[in-house]
Amino acid sequence: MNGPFGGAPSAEQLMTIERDDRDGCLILVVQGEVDLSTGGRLMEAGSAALQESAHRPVVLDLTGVDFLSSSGLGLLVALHDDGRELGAPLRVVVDPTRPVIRPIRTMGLDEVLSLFRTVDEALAA
Amino acid sequence: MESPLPSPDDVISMVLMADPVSLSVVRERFRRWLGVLCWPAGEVDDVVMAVNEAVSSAVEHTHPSAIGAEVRVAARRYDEPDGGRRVIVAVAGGEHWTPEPHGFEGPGLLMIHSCMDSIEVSREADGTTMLLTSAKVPPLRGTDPGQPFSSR
Repeated sequence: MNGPFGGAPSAEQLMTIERDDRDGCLILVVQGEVDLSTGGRLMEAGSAALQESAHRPVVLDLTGVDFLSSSGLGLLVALHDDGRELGAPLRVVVDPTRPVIRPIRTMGLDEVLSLFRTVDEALAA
Repeated sequence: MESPLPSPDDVISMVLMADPVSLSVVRERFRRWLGVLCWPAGEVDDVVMAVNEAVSSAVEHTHPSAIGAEVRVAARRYDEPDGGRRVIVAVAGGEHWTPEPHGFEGPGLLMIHSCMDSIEVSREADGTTMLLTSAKVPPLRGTDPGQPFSSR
């Protein structure tokens, strides 16, 4: 583990994104930590999903995310805005008992983003 | 009797590459350290969040041509006279941490303010340093909640 970054996990290990398709809706299941090193990949995957969704909601499942930085919050807002422009609403699933909800509330983004507790709720909305 | 000298667990310091990959390293180091200090879980998240934002800022504003640029992080736990505990964290970027026209602001700073009791930023010719002081957490159970006279 003594690579050039002194044993730091690679950005691929730090955050994974899986794509799922349910009832014609794209779901991105994100796991791990969203920060400056991983956010770019989430932005790309989110943008691609919104572009492809053909006016259907895109669900971003963050229940497996352990850490979300302010840069991560910034990209959630950017994706939310892109979704509105494209007519593909972004629905974000967050576990209200885990640390990720806190930065979202701190920055007042619970008033901006469309938040849900489960993927099922997000799909049914 | 416990020794009045600071224990080695009271301090951590590290030198990181000014690169986003360093962020997970510093978060992990602080989580482990605060775990050893039996810090309450919610306050661990706050300190980790604030340190992540401070180091992110140092990384983001380090001049891209600065190959090999470093960010230095050091932290110390200390006791208030009433026995409450805090950590103070210094995050320092070298001379390549370019000053911003309106200073360090934006969502990162807001986030730090929401997680810490105070933040001080000092800019010198050879770099920028942020000093973050955590919220006060209760004394450890089973320890003396502060003495009237410091033995130091």
